[in-house]
Amino acid sequence: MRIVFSWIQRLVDSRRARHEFEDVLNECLERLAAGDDVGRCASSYPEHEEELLPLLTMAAAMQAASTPPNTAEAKARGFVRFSKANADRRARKRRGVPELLRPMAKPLIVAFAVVAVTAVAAGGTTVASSNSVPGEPLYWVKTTKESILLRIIPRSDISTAKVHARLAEERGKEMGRLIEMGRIGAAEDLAVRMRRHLNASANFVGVVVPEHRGEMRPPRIRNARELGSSLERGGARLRAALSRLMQDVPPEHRSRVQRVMRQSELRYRMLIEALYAGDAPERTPFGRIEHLGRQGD
Amino acid sequence: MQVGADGQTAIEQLVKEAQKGDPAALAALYERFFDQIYRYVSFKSGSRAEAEDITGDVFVKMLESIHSFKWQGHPFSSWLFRIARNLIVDYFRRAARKKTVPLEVAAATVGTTPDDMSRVVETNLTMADVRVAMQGLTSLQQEVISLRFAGGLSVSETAGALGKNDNAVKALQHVGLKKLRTMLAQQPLQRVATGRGEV
Repeated sequence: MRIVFSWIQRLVDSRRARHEFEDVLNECLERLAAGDDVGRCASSYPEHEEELLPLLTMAAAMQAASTPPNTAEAKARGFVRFSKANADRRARKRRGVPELLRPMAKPLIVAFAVVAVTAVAAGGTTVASSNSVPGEPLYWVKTTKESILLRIIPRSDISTAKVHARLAEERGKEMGRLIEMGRIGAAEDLAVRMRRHLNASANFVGVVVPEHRGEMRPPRIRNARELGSSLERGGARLRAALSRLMQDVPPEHRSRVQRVMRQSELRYRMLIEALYAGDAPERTPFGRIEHLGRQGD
Repeated sequence: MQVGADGQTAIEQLVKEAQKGDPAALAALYERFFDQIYRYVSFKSGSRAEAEDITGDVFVKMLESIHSFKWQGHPFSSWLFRIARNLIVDYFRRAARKKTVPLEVAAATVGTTPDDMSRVVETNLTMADVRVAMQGLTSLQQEVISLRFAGGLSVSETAGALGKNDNAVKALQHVGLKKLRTMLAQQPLQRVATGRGEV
């Protein structure tokens, strides 16, 4: 009986000790999060120091590892989207209210746009930002300005689609600059953004770019062809610029750059074909894309 | 990033105003939580471009459902991180269906100077190492570690997000950290073996 009792007692003690250690560990973690030092935290509990130290070092490394170096660009872009969603939601709520009572359709965005554009223009940064690429200090000014203009200026679907097409072309130019700088990973990232602009452009003229050509449907808007020819020119310029760059790309990065080129061109080609659904596909400027694909592999 | 009692009251006030549709309060909540959510999402997804989109979705979702949020003993941040968790689960489900691999390297879009870039790359590799090591943890341990260290939530906020009590979170955090430490100690060998570590 005494043996059983002492065994239970030991179990209870060990559980209590474990809870106590978990509390101490947690207290130290809270102190670390508040900016305290690993060594100082651990030495505050001499009886647990040996066990605490490696865990706190681990936790500090985790915190450092999971901190993105720069969130300002993402935050600024996200805020424009958030404001737009909020304005849309408010507009939806106002539906059913007499026309006279809803004169301020986009108050948040307009206010934000005026403040933001005025502020950056006053500092002379808008011009300087126009040549910036991701990772540069003024890039967020450029993308924020684009997001604002995209949401405020276009008055029709076709004009929004054209703005998206222009932005896709701009992303293409930035990709070229990044490849020149040897920042291939960043160029790959931009290819994703470029495809999003192209998709958005297509969607605004009622085209859903399908996975297979057989699924293509004629575009909803008559002047989609106008957008198509603008995309043809943009795509051709991108192709020419990237092809020129290819000669200077170091061999170890060549396959990645080729992949970015292939994917960008493919997206352009599919969108243009979707816009010209029913017309001859050879109108697209990417006749050699399959050849390029094999070359890269 | 953890919030004291005063901060919690301020957040409660903001939430009440946001529920009435006050745009300034909504913007303040965005400002208050963006970095935390973005950090958590980019840690979980491993891609900054996807993280930006998912974080944007979290706040759009917040706009859509904040009117239905009720105080049930958990902080607002727990509710917001629950939205983030659900969206990340959806993201992984979609990614698994499409069988796609993100093109971008997580840190490729950030960094202002060459020095900064190398720091980013180092950080990214460390994040990648941690993510690999996390595979050896149970899903609950992974969640606790992500919410506590990437999301910067307190124990009670984490408990709220996971529907657990504080003691359970402390225990999961303890075991999770211990396991991670053991696994990361073996990591350099694995990195050489798998050839990871390229930019």
